[in-house]
Amino acid sequence: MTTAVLTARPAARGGFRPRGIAWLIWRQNRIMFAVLTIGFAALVVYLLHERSALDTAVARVQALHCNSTQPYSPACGDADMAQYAIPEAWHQTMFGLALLPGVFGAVLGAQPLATDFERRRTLLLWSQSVSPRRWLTYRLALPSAVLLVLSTALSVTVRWGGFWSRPPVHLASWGSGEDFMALVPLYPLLTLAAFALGALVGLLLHRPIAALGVTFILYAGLLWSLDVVRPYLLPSYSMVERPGWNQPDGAWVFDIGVVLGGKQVPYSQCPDMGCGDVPNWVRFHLISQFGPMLWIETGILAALTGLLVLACYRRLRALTR
Amino acid sequence: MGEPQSATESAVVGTGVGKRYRRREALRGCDFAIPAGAVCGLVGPNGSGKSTLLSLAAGLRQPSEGELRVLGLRPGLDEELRARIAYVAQDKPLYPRLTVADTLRLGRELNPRWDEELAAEILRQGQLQPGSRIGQLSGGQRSRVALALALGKRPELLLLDEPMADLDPLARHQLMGTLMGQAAEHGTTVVISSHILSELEGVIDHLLLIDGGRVRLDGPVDGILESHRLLHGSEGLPLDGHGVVELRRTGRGSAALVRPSGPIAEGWQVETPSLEELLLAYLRAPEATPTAHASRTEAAA
Repeated sequence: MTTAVLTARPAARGGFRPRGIAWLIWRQNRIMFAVLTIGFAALVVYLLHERSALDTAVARVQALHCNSTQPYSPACGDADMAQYAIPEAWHQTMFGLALLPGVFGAVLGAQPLATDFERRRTLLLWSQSVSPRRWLTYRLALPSAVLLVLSTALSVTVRWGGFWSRPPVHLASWGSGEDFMALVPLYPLLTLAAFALGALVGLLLHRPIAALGVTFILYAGLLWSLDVVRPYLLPSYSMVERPGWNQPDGAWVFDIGVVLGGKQVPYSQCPDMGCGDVPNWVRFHLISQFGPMLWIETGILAALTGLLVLACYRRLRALTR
Repeated sequence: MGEPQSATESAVVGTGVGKRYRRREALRGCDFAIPAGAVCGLVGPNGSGKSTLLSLAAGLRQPSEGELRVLGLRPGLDEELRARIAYVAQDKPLYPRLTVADTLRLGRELNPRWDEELAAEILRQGQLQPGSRIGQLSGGQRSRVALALALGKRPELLLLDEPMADLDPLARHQLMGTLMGQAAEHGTTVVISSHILSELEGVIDHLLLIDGGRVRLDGPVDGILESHRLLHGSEGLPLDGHGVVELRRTGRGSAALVRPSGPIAEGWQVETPSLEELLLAYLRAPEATPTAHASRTEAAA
């Protein structure tokens, strides 16, 4: 026989006390929110550490007066290597960051919603005194708010580390889409779009594993689509350079290759022995277009997020008809 | 808003209610009225449309045709109705990772009229530990939690879809007692679907029999039973003029469930059917003719 007592409403305590449907969403996701917060904080610390290490490497190169006219010294070699290795590690991190929203969309959006439908828990929720519409609003809004705060903090750190601190990471290194995606204000909107995408997939599929997979695939498609359309969002420039060229100053390069037989082709079409002394071509945006491009893609993702959320509500309406 | 008198006296009123799922028609042309304060048994074979009707009444779905009024309002569309009705689905969906106490809190947080004491009392009767996770409970214990969640809302209308199916006889008896006690104390209208016909005997005072998506019987139990007779006799005895629900051979002769429309011929042994006998006869004879409306009207008379 149990001696435990089911108590009435507990006395109010201080601190964060969500109520109503917000409590339920928080209760269901609190572990995930905690993991996310710790993970994002760790990433911010890592990026700040890398930024600091880069500053140290640059200062060391300057202090050693290393330059190409001096005879080689091991100290200069190490400092020089660090100067390039750190941005490389940074960019690999950016690649991972660009994939993270897809994980959030699948794990926080698609999977829990699909599970609620598969296990028919929506019947439990919708038969309380809360309308399905209100439930969905909270179900979308609370994780979105958490993701927005965390992704903004992370992408501000990335942008500060890459551009706003001195010396900045060379812009030519920011040519890849994944690096571009990890910057504020684009990254928070990418995160929200991925979450809304996952939510819609969950509302449509009602099968958790399938919803996870489909969300990943669609998110990869979204990243690819943005990469494809980016050159056309703002006027771009192209240039053919003589062999042994350097990238043009003030260029944000998005495609390069060689000229073979009068045709501009990618490097992958060079024969095994290499292309030799042939002219190179380059397509690029101007540095001055970098900021506007960020905002244009942010706008595209904001519109996409809005459409996905609208589709979520339409789907919910269909499910309750 | 001035509601029609019949709508306010009845807890649930269906007028030509139909529900279609893509190609399948789950309900069609259902006319019925469940009086306020009644304990209504919703009976029918598998796939007859019982769960669909309950989900429509709970506002989880909308009818494809006709009109359904619950407590004079439109379920799912009139927001104020949500707090006044409770629904327990057939499979009692709950969150397995929440504890019993968390599940009660879910009820408290999502329902303005929540009665914590009542919900806790129902759980105490089942000796459930507040710290137990829902996923660790037996099917019967989960049913008890689901019922506590529904009753804790203090609903005016309680919709239960096969609520006792996975309970042992003792738990079923206990919980049915609690349910009926609550219904009597608070005047709650209860609509309970069940396959266990014997369990409804002596519990329900209103009957709604659905078969093939149509209402076949709707009315007070006493009136329906009074309007039927169970006949036993030798083969070949006349039944002319009576509405024959079912005529079947038994070991020594024939048995028939009829709706008499005059004196019964001599030779028949006549008795009033039990609820279970009446329901089984109707379920065995899906083409039997007595209409729901006629049955309701006559029973009321």
